[in-house]
Amino acid sequence: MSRDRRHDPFGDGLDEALDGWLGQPNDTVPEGLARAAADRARDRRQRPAWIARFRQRNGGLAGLGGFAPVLAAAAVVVAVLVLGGPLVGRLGVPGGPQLSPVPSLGPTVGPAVDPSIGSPSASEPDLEAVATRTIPLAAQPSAVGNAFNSLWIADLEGTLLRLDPATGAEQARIGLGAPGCGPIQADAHALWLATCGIAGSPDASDATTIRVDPTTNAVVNRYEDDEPDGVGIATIAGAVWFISGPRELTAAGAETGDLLESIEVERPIRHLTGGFGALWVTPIREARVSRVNPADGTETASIPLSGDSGYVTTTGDSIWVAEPHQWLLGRIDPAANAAAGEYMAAPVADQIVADGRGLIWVLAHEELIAFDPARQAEVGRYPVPLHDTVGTVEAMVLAGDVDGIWYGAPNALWYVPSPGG
Amino acid sequence: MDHDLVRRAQAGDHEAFSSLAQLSVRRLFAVASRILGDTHLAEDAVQDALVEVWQDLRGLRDPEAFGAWSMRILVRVAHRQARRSPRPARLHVEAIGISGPDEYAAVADQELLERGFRRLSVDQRTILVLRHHLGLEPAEIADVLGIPQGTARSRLHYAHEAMRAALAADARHGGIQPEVMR
Repeated sequence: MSRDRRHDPFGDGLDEALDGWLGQPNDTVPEGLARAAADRARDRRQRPAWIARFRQRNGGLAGLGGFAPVLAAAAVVVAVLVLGGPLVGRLGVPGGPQLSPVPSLGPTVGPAVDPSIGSPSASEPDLEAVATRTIPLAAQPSAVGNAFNSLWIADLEGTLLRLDPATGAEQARIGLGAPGCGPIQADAHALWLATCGIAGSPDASDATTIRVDPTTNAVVNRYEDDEPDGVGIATIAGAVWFISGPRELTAAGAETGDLLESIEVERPIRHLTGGFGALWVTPIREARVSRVNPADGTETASIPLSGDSGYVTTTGDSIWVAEPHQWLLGRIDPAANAAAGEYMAAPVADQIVADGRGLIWVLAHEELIAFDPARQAEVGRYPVPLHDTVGTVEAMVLAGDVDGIWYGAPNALWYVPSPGG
Repeated sequence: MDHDLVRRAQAGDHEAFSSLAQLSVRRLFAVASRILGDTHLAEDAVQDALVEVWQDLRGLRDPEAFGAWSMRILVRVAHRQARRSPRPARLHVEAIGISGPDEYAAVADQELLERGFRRLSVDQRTILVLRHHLGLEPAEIADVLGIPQGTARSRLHYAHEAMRAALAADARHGGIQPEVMR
């Protein structure tokens, strides 16, 4: 992921350019805006200071999601017990604690979507509150994997940590030379992930794909990539495929790490997965998934979607694809080479992971959603901390486990059990 | 900001609050419209934020902190708006008059910046707006966002790099930008 300076139009002047552009003062404020807001406020009572402080400390309670009504009820009970009747009147509606509603699901969706599917079936509990285990981290994760009875955490500092999932103890610390980019995947012999350099950083380095030997905890192969625009790793038929250039896929032997071949596809690639004897790629800015024959790089099917395609992954009987700008999760039937369903997800879904119970977890920009394919229904939705990006690759901090998933929060790993498990 | 107005509004004086709203609205609207890229969404966000400011004003301990405190509420409301809405269609920064070749180049640069900015996540857009529109230092950004200073610096760095990457992608693809760059 070297950044070609020829394509850095502002160079060192970016700060100044942003100052000039974002700093333009000539906004026209809609007439009457302040008055309209004040009029709306007139109908609301001010909250007591202690409730207001509590709300503001907790992000206006929006971040507390499903606990908000509980807290509100608790506040009323405390008010009754401590202060007696008068405060109850002040907490009543209007003028009570105007708790934030569960966010709506957003935009109108295309005809392929069943709008009844994926509606939020429950309120939004805080993810940390539902986590059953926490492992503290010293650096913010950029990618998380679960393989060889260990958790693997790449961070923005260019380190790959290996942790014991039972105790959280560090088993190994491996230098990557650049921030790790998810997904972290494993075959029977090795762990695979990509690195992303960060332009302008003294640590910037070219994009690479890395193979780690879990028996020695050492990087045993590093493949220099040619400025790819996407990330993805796929294992099929003893070969591990990765995105090695804007339109290039390269295979290495899973057992040996030896380079085998490269193929070129028609359009620049965003993400890649493998399964059912094929490579599945999402072309950048196209509303489709392309099925590619790894033997010769020919496209054997092009599956149309409602929106531009993003992250793609394989489960037992399906290919799952994010449609990040249409807020959709798509399921492709590989036998029919057709979309079998598209379900509401959340804005900018960046990663999809299956857990051992068969639930599909979608990591969106500010939410984590659990989807049950058997019921075709959303079974969990949780606000998540904003995850950083590596370059412009969103951090992919989900890893599946037997009965839940691991989520890489900014300073800890949280284990989130499957809803209903 | 008039601290006396803040104190009076905290005591329930609605007229004082109306004056505060008049004094704050330009700044709040400018930030919301840049984060959300949509003047209608920004209008809603400012209204919601000001209502929340009124309701929670008694919780503000230091009237001098009103500016940062109200901006924090606005940013949070704008993020909620962004969750409910697709990515911004277009950032509305009003056009300047064009009278010569230099200004044509400036407009071209603005279009380039706008295309890059539209590809950023809401938190990246937010931190760039706080830095480059309001001119806040990392410590002040940290205060508005309720995050540690180190995290603010880190997020600011990555937001700049994301912007740089988006601009590079735009150049490489002749104006058609990929979502992901490595």
